[in-house]
This record gives sequence, C-alpha cells and structure tokens, in this order.
Amino acid sequence: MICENKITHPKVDSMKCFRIQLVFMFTFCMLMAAAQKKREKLQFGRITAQDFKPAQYSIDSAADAVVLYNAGSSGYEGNSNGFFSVNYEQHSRIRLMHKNGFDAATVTIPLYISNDYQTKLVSLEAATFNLENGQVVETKLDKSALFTEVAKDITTYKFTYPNIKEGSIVEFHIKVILPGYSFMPDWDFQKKYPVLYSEYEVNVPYFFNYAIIKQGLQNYIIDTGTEVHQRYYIHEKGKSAAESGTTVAVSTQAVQHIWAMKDVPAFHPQKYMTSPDNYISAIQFQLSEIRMPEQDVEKLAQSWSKISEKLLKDPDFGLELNYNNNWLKDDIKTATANAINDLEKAQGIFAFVRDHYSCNDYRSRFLSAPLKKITQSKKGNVADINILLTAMLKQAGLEAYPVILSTRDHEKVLQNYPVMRKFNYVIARLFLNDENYYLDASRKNIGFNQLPVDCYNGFARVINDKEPLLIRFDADSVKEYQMDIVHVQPDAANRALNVVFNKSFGNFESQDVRNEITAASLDAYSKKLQKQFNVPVQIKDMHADNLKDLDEPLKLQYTAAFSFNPDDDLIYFNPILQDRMVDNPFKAESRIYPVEMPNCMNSTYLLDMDVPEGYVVDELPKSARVQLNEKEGSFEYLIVNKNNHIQMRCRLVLNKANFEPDDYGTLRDFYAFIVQKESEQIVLKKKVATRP
Amino acid sequence: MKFLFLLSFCMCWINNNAQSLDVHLIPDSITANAVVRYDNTIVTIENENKVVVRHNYAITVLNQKGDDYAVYTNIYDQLNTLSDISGALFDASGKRLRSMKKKDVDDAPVNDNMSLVRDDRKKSYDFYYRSYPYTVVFNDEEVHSQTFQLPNWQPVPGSDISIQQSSFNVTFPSDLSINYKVLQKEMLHFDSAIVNNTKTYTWQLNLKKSFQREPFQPNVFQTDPFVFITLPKFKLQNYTGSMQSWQSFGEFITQLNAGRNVLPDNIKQQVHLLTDNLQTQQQKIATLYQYLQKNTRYINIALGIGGWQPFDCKYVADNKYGDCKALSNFMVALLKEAGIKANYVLISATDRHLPMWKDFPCGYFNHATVCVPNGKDSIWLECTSATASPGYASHFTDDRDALMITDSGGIIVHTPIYSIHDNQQNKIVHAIIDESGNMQAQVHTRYTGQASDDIHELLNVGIPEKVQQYYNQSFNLPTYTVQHIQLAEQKSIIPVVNESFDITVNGFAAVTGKRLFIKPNIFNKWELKLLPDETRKYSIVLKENFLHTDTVFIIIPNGYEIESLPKPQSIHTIFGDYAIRFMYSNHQIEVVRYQTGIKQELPASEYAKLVEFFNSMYQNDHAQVVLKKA
Repeated sequence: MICENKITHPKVDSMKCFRIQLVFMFTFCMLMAAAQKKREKLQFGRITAQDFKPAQYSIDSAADAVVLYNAGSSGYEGNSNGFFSVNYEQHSRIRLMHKNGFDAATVTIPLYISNDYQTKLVSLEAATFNLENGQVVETKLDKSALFTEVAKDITTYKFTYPNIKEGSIVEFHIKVILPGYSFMPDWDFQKKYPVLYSEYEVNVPYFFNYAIIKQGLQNYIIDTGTEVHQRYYIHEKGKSAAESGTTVAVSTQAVQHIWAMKDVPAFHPQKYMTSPDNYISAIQFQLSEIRMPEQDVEKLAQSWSKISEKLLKDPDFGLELNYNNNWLKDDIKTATANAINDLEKAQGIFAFVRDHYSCNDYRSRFLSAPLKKITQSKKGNVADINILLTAMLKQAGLEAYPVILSTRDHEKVLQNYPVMRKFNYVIARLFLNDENYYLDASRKNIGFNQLPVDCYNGFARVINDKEPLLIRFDADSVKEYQMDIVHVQPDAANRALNVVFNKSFGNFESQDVRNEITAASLDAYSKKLQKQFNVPVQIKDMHADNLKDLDEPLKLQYTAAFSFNPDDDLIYFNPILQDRMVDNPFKAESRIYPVEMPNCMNSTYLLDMDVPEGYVVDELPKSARVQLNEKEGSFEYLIVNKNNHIQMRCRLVLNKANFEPDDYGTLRDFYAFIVQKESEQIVLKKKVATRP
Repeated sequence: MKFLFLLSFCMCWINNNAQSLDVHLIPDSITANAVVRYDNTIVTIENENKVVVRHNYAITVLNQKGDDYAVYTNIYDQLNTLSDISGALFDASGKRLRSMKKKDVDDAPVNDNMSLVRDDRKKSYDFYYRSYPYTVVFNDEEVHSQTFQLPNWQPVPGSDISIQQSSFNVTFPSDLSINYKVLQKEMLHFDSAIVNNTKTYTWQLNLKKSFQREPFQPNVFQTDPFVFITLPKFKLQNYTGSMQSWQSFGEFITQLNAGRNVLPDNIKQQVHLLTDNLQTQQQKIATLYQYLQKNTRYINIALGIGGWQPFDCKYVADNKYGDCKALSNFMVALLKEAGIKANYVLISATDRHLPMWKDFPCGYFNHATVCVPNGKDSIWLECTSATASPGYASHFTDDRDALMITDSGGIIVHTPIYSIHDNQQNKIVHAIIDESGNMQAQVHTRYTGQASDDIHELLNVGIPEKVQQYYNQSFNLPTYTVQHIQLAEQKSIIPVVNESFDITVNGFAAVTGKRLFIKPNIFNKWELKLLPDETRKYSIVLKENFLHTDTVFIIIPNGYEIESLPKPQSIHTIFGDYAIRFMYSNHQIEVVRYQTGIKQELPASEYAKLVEFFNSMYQNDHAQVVLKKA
C-alpha cells in the first residue's frame, strides 16, 4: 500500500531580476542632467542637529548602525612618471545607533604596497560628531591614533573613532593614489549595515576602455555615462637631476560614469550559499582596451583565444608546457613503471604527483615558482601542482591541458567574457581514447578523474592553443551515490539485536571520511560513530574497503549489538538506525536568495530484519512516496513484513542542487516530510502464548 | 682566512647534529606522530637589561598528523627582538635535504581578532615536506631588553608528540640570583653549577612518551612540566621593580600606574552630578559603573610598554575607549572621586591561562579588573563589558586568586565563588500535541548567575531580528517556528534573566498508524556520552556548579491512551544528582527533572562512575512515551 503525495507549490512567475550584467565603459545610457538632479552631495563635516533627529531609520528600524552616505570616485590623472595614475577618493558617513554597531567605528584601509607598486594614502580626515545640549560637537581623529600594520604586499591603515556613543555620527574622507593605469577600484553598494545612499563616480579618458560587471538584486537610481572633454597634465622627469622635466597637456574625450543606489538593505551571508560575493550589490571593473593615439588598439581581454595564447606564453602559467621537459623523465619513469597502457600511465603520473607534493595554497591561478623549483621543494600552490601534472602528462606523450576555474567560496565565472580575477584555481584535463578526464592532484584523498566539491561552481576554461573550450562543472550535474545496507539478526539468548552495517560512500563523502580517518584512525572513527547512536551500542570489527584505493568509493563494514529485553511485551524500533534526518536543514521560514547545495543526491538505505522469536509485528510505518516539483527529487519509504521478515527501502533522490528562492517553501516542506517519515517506528508485540 | 674558518665552523655544527638525526635512533618506546629529538634552550641573563635566549631544536615527523610540529614560529616585538633564524630539513636517514631560505621566512603581524593594533609580529617557516619520516632542525636567538617577563620553558609542545631529550639552561652572573617555579618537578632532572662567577641551572626532560587527551582532564599546568623564572630585581624600560614578593610586585604596578589616574575636570563634575545625591555606596558604585559602560568601549592597543601600562584617565575621557587596564584604572579614579576606595586588580582570566601562584610572584597576568574591597561583600567590576551586572564575575574571572594593587603594595585576593544555588536554570514547559504529532508549547525559563552567561550575551548582543534568527536555528527539533520571544534581565550581584517564547513544532511526535511516539523531555536533554576508559590517567576536572529544574506538561490528543511510560530514575553521585519522573493523568503527561553539577577535581579512579552517570542521564533524558489510539 503506497500513498502518493506530491509536494508542489503553485509557481509564481519569478521576477526577472538580473544578478550579473556586463557592460562597457563607452556606452551611454542616460542624460546627465536628469541624473544630476537625483544626486546627493554632502560635504565633510557639514553636520547639523537635524542629522541626529531620526531615532531609527525606516529602511531597518532595528539596525545597529546605518550608513548615511557612502560616495566614492576614481579618476585618471597625469602623473610625474610620464603616464597616468588613478586617484581614488571615498567619503563615508555612518550613524551609530546601538553599541552592537560600534564595530562600524573601526576603519581599516588595506592598500597594496609592494616594491614595484606603491599605493599611497595621500590624505585622511576623520571625525566623530555628537549632539551635546543641542550643539553639534566635533572630535577629530588624532594623527597619532592612525596605526599601520605591515604585512607582505599589504599595508593596512587602521583607526577607531574617538569619543563615540550611541547616536554618534562618524565620518571619514580619504584620498588614495594608485600608481598604475590598469586597475580601477571596485565598489560595494551593499554592506553589513543598511546604506541610505551610495554612489560611485568614475572618470576615464578615451585611452582606456573597461568592462564593467554589475551584480546584485538592488536597483540603481542613477546609472549614467556621459562624454566629457578633459585635459590631463603628464609630467616626464628629466633624464638627470639637473635637467628639468617636461609637462605635456593632453586634451581628450573622456567618459564620466555615475552609479548610485538608495536604501540598500544590509547583507547577511546564509547557509547553502556559495560566495556572498556573488550576491552583494557591487560593481567591478576590468581594463579591456588601451587606445593610445597613433597606435593600434591594444585589446587586453576580449577573446578567449587571445587570452589562452597569452597564458600559454606566460612564464607564470603555461610557458613551460611548450618546452621539452626532459628533466622530468626520471620521475615519469618511476611513476609509470608498471603501466601497460596510456591510461595506466596517466593514472601513475597523477598518483605520483598527488602523493609526493603538498599544496600550501588552494587559491591561485599562477605559478609561484618555475616548475623545476617546485619539483625540488615538493610543495606549491594548486596551480604549481596541477600545471606540473599537466607538464608530466605531456612529457609522457599524452594530451593534457590546464583548466582554470573558480571555487565555490569564490566569485562565479562569467560565461563568455574573460574576467581573469574571477578565476582562482587550476586543474588538468587529459584527453585519451576519445575521453576527457579531469584531474586535481593537489588534494591528498582524491582519486583519478575526481574533483573536490569546491570545483563545482559553474564555468571553467580549458587553456589550449586552439579555441579555448568553455566547460561547466555544475553542482546540478554531479550526483553523490550513497548506499547503506543494514541487516538485523535477533539474538534472544544474548538479549541483543545484532546489526551488520555495510556503507558505501559517494565520491565527496569518501574524500571527507578518508581525510578524517587519515587524520585520526579507523578506531577513532569507529568510536565517533558509536557515540552517534542514542542508545548504548558497541561498534565492533570495523573494516574499510578502498581506504587506500582512492579511485574507488570508500566502503565501511561494521557490526553493532543493540540491547533488547525479550521479557518486554512491546518493542519499539526505528528502522533507520543511523544518520537519520532529525531536523530540517532549512530552518528559516523564507528566503530571498537561491539555495545552492553542493551536489545532487541519490542515497539509499536498505534494511532487512528478522522479527525476534516470540514477537509479531503490531504496527509498521506506512509506505510513502513523494515527488519534489515533478522530477526534481523524490523520497520513498517502502516497508513490508512477510512472514515475520521486515524489509525496507528508504531512498532520497535530488536531481538538482540549485533552487530558486521561489522553490524554497517547497524544498522546506519536502525535507519536513522526510524528517517526519524517518522518525516513525516499528512496534513489535509479544505473541500471546497459546495454551495447548 | 677568518671567513674560511667561520664557514668550516658552520659546516661542522650542522654535521654534528645531523649525525644523530637518523630516525632509527628513536627508541621504540616513544614512537608517536612526531618526536622532539633534542630541544635546547639556553638563557643567558647578562644583566637587568639584557637576556639572550638561544634555541636549537630538532623534530622528527613520523606521519601526516605530526606535520604541524615541523612549522617554525616565533614572536617578537620592540622589547624582545628575534634574529639568526636558521633551519634545515633531513630525510629519514638523517641526510640533509635543504636549508631554510631567509627570504622565505614569513613575517606577519600577530592578529588576535580582538586588538585594534599590536606591535608584536610573528615569523614562521614551513618546509612543507611530506615524505615520512623527516626531520627539521631550527635555531634562533632572541634578545630581550627587559627582565620583567623572563622566558619560560614548556618542553611538551602537545599531547601527540614524544620527547627524546629537552633541556632548559639558565646562566646568570653569580652576584644576581633568580627565583624559579617548577611544575611537575618529578618528571625533570635538575643540575646547578658555578664556573667563573657565573651560575648555571639546568633542567632536563628525557624520554617522555606522547599521551592521549582525555575528556575533563586538568589543564596543561597540572599535567605537563614547566619552568618559570624571574629576576628578583628587574627592569622594564625606565622602571625598576622587585619580584621578591607579591607585595613588592604590587608596588611596581603602582609605580607604572602613577600619575595616570587624574580625571579631567569635566569628568569630575560629572561624577559629582551623578552621585552626590545618592544615599548608599552601592548605588554610587552601580551608577558610576553604568556611566563607564555607557560612555566607553573596549579597544585594545598593545604597543611597547602599553602592554603593561594603562593609558591615563584623560586618554580614556577624550577617546571614550581603552583596554582592560585603561578602563579599570579609569573606573578606580571615578570611584575615588565619589569618595569610594577601590583597587586596580591584576588577574589571570579564563581557565586556559596560567594561574597565579601564591608562592611565586611573576608578571604573567592577562587581564585587569576592579575590586571595591569589603571582605566577603567585596564588589567586582568587569570594566571591558558594556553589559555585565555590577559585582558579577562570569566564567572569565570567577573563583581564583588575583593581585589587588593597594597603597601598600600587592595583596592576594580571591574572586567570587558561585554555588549550585547561585547558578540555576528553572524551566517550565506547557505543551499540547495534536493527532498528527504537531506540538505547540509555551516555554518559560529563569536563568541565574553563571547559568545566565550565554543568554546574557544573546540578550545584549541581539537586535530582535537576530534573536529571532538565533531561536529559529538553535534547537535540535524537526521543522519549527519560534515566536513571541521575551527576554528580561535583572542586573544584580547574581544576575537573573527571564526568558519566554512560544514554539510550534511540526512532526514533533512520530506517528505510526495508531501510535504516537513522544520524547517528552523536550528542551533539556543531556547530550554528552562518554566511552569507558580502563586506562584513565588524569584526574577529572568538573568546572561548574549548577542546578537545573525542569517541569514539562504535555496535553495529549483525545482518544489516545498511554501504552508505555518510562520508568523514573534517581541517581545520587559525587559528581551531582539527577532525578527524572514521568507521570500521566487526565490526558496530560508530566515530566519532572532535577540535575546538579558540582565543581571539583576527582581522582581518575572515579571515571567509570562518571561514564555511567552521564550515559544514564543521556538515556533517561531521551526516553520516549508511547501513546496508542484507544
């Protein structure tokens, strides 16, 4: 007997809200005059008693702090080195509402400072404003209270506002010079606290064109680009100290962009969300063209084939892949000693790199050192290790390429337009016998042609000398197969139910459990499992299959004895003995962001059980089957009793990992049903003794 | 020629050590994840202004779990410099593979996530070698230009590492003397010698086996060997002091703080405005403490001597912030202005920090607080908290010796001890369950003393939205919603928080056919299970006195009857008491639960009883009631 349920909510036509949009600098979209009207301009220090009036702000009455105004600008200017620099300014005004928001009163300004790139903090003004007896009182930040913290390549300026209390307004204005011409600071409209007004202005001469990436759910109140005429003074130093330099005035077209948002709600990261960077309302830039007078336009980032070509010539990426790396031959020989065909060769090389190298940085798309150095030190970042793997595969006569991608905790990659900063990871692709294999040798407990779960984050690019291929690693496309087979045998003499567990893990879980077992021991893992049962149980004879054979899924077998009292008239027994879903993973009632689970799922639990001698089944849970939105998932709970032998199958299938906010309610209900069903129990009853 | 000589000397030195690095020379009796092959710390106290520490050690890593021990790290700051770092990597046979490259040593600011700015920095280096076993050797030299805090010796870096040989060697001119404190003395070997007007003390630890961490074990200061040393007459920049007694140590602190307690005039006026009309001393203290809480915040700025010396009262008044020292110093000044005698107190906060020893004055405190002394009725004021109750010491500072700084030097005082009756959690639940297993309940709880520490944080940190979010994510229940949350705190010497909320749980009870399965002890289940351990080594440390009472009423749906009701249980142990009773009458289940825990240390031999006690509570708390349709 099966009751069929369907959990589907009426679908609301999902709002067509863009999440990521790409435009170019030299597109003009709106008349400046109209924009100027909406624009808010505040002056530093112009704070009146009126500004302290609101006891709360309608955007978020419970906010601990409110950003009243946050305006930034980046503009090109001629420098004294014969070219351009970018001048960045920011003016921020925050109202502190409650003590809990006082963290907003500590400001950190991290600047990239290395030997060849010296960002400079030119000026900083900061002050606290309080209303005392109806008068606005200003407390300026003392110069001695501005601290610097120097780390490698990053110098952080830090200060905390003096004399703050609940209700204070704190304000800073900074000016920073970025010495290069190729980097434009990004702008986040959305913050940890709600923002009443946020604006970013960008001025770029005709010589430079930028790709602009806009993302987030919030709407712009100003989004304009206007053509203006601008004059830049570029100074070239004299060749010697005695010789005076020359200054050139360059007059050219330029574009002035202004973007602004009003009443932007606070952003809080959530469970089942990849990187918050994908959802915060923000704007980012990438230089796409340099168009110097009387020179060819230099296209920096337009076609993937150009980029690929460049990457393969880049000594920090693929240059060495073009060489005959004969020096690798000894290692290749060792790694492929027992190989009888190309696939085994590749497997040998993969295992060799995985087992002999350690990864010290899982976020890099560039080499940290030449490959030879990597082989000497036996360590490197993920690019080092997987480019070395590629080089070894190629040297062994196989067809292999590096692949670049972005991990789940990092931003998502755009489908077509190459925005390189969005990539942070390198793996290898092997093409053999008409098949593609994807390899990551940077992780210890991973098999051939397996990727860690973090790699399933959308688009990736194969870097080759032809047309660089666009490929996809989607959570929606990867399914985790798990199987638990549980056999229960009563042993009345010993007052026990002896249970044999046979667990087979999916690829990702195999990686995790292997990591756990190698970090501790099988025995420690067995003790950990033992504690998870809510009745006293002793796990015995734990045995692992494929613990070292990383290409195969991990399997565990063990036994456990549950005590039962053969004198009891009734025995209550939940047939799901392990890893029962006891609470709903989707606790919040509603959600505005999509749900992004790491993978699809197919997990099966099988149980067979002999009813103890002298008992009969009094009650069994009802079999049930539900579908999630037609074909997106299903849960089935099938249980039968035949001649005092109970068999059950419980299976959860998710054919999708990503769900839109509209589907949240359905998903939550689906899981609620599972939790409820899995809590049901079997009731066994003592047979009434029949008198002879 | 001189250069050549130096070079060959260096080679010798490395070779010398390399000879002994073959892993086969590790005695089988001490194999672990890693082994300290040798570790020599040589401290040379040249005078009150200069101490040189040379550290030279070799660690063999036997498997992946020991990798962390192969990472070099050391901390330095303005008063304690770090130089001459070198290191090398060796394979299993003791063959040298490569050396540390100076330019690859990472140099980063120390980030404790609490301080605005600190001047200490960390140097670190990792060979990232992964062919086991392997050995790393490191050397460095520290020069300390202060003798307030001398280096100490902690030869056991972790539980899963064994020690082949480790030594701590302290040399000083024989006209100086040093004081020392040795913990777990019986594990160490001690020697002393005098040669040419220099005296040398040497402590050694040989062949110490790694050990397994145990639940509820005492902290490292009770289990591991340590040596602490002090110089009776020490220097810290321009200050000199005496560590002969706690009294004289206190005098030094008075000297450091001298002249830093002058309140600006406007603050003085404020103090009088606030307190002159108040009758009792208690009211005045509470009012000024609230004033401090409202008008200042905790910001840590640890630069140079600022690690020990508070910013003065004017600084706090101008900036409205300070660290524990500055805020405590400021609080003492506020009280003084109101005519109340209070004292600045140095204390070892948290139970992980080294404790204060009555017989060994030293400068290892990590916190400052304020005491208004009055014998048993002394009032303690935690100045870094914007929300704490006046007079209340949380887990952070309760029940320990501390150093009160008075006009006549330092005096040892003890912070408040809270009894099981001070730390209570009393919960009453009224619930109703329907036929589908859904439950609605009203929950009222009263938390007192240290039982209120967590809920106090929530009450004071949470905006309503966040509180709502917290409640809706924190229970181990099926799909549920919490509403009508009310939290109210009564600030007093023993703070009290009253909490109430309504909760709806879908599928709280499992339904199978004609039966309903209910776990009626809904909100206070003992979740800690222990595994028996026949070889328990360490004594058992229970850290808290507490008393919980729970009463749960559950109205069951019409037409159902009780089929199975768990048995009552009542256990009386040295660890505490536990009792639970399940009753049924008039369509209502009633559960009454009582539990106490007693702060104490007990011998390892009691462990089996503790396991039984915890596991019994676990099982009884998770017991189920079965209802059956009539």
